[in-house]
Amino acid sequence: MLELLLFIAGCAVMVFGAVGIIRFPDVYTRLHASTKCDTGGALSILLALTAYTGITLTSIKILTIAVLIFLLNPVVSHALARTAHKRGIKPDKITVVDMYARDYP
Amino acid sequence: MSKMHFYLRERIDKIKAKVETELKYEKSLTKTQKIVLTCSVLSLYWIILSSSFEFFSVLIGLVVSLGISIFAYELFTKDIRSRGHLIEKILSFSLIYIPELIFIYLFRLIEANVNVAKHVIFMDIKPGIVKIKTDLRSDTGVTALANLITLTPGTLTVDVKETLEGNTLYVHWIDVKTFSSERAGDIIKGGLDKWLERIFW
Repeated sequence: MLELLLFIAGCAVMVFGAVGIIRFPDVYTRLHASTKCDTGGALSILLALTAYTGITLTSIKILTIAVLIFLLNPVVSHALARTAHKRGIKPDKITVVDMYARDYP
Repeated sequence: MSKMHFYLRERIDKIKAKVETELKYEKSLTKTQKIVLTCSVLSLYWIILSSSFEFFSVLIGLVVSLGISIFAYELFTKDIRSRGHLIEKILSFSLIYIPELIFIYLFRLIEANVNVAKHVIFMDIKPGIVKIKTDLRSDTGVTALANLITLTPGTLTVDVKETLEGNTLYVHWIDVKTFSSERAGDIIKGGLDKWLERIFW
């Protein structure tokens, strides 16, 4: 029961992330959508697989994959956002404040 | 002239306070503790990856990770705060700190996921890059804080700059609630800052 619940929640979060990548206006907000996919969706799907297999060495390996996603995902999205800002890609018009461009133009 | 003088005195007091805190936190783990910590983490990872408890396999893993940790012990354990014995620290880390982090983080994660799903459906976003200050000084501590902020859906760390008062994080926030640096820090960081300060300096 728990694994089914986690699996459905993970799939729903993945669908919302995919819709967000299409609907959001600029690079930074789209990065939000893709980051949300990995943390909410992939982690809960992996936890559902762990709950399905029970406590074995396989489930510990799946948890290791979850820990690696937990470490690598923010590094990649941070690198993408910083490089986009350094290359001069402006945020969208609906952005209310950009203190980074004000401090380091 | 006198105004300039007071300004300079204030600045010098700030630098003195910073030097004192850095001297207080200078005490880190000893070399043996660093080697043992790195070696145990590496051999645990080897056992999980190889997934066999045979004597020969575990022995090879132990020897190789000891060899690696003699050369590379500074890499991961440089910024860990030394307080109490190492075994006590590991026990409190695995029994108190990690469940506390999971407890703090899980509710933030669920709430943020629901919020971003709402933003995707209704498109009522108000994005912006705000800056927040943190008291963490070491590289590993700031990296961990930036990673945890990025992992929370709705906030994304763009850059980290080091200033005299501490490190400044520039965070892209999908729904800007306040422009003030302190209140934005309270909302974005929550309890993560205080939690990380107990491990890294």
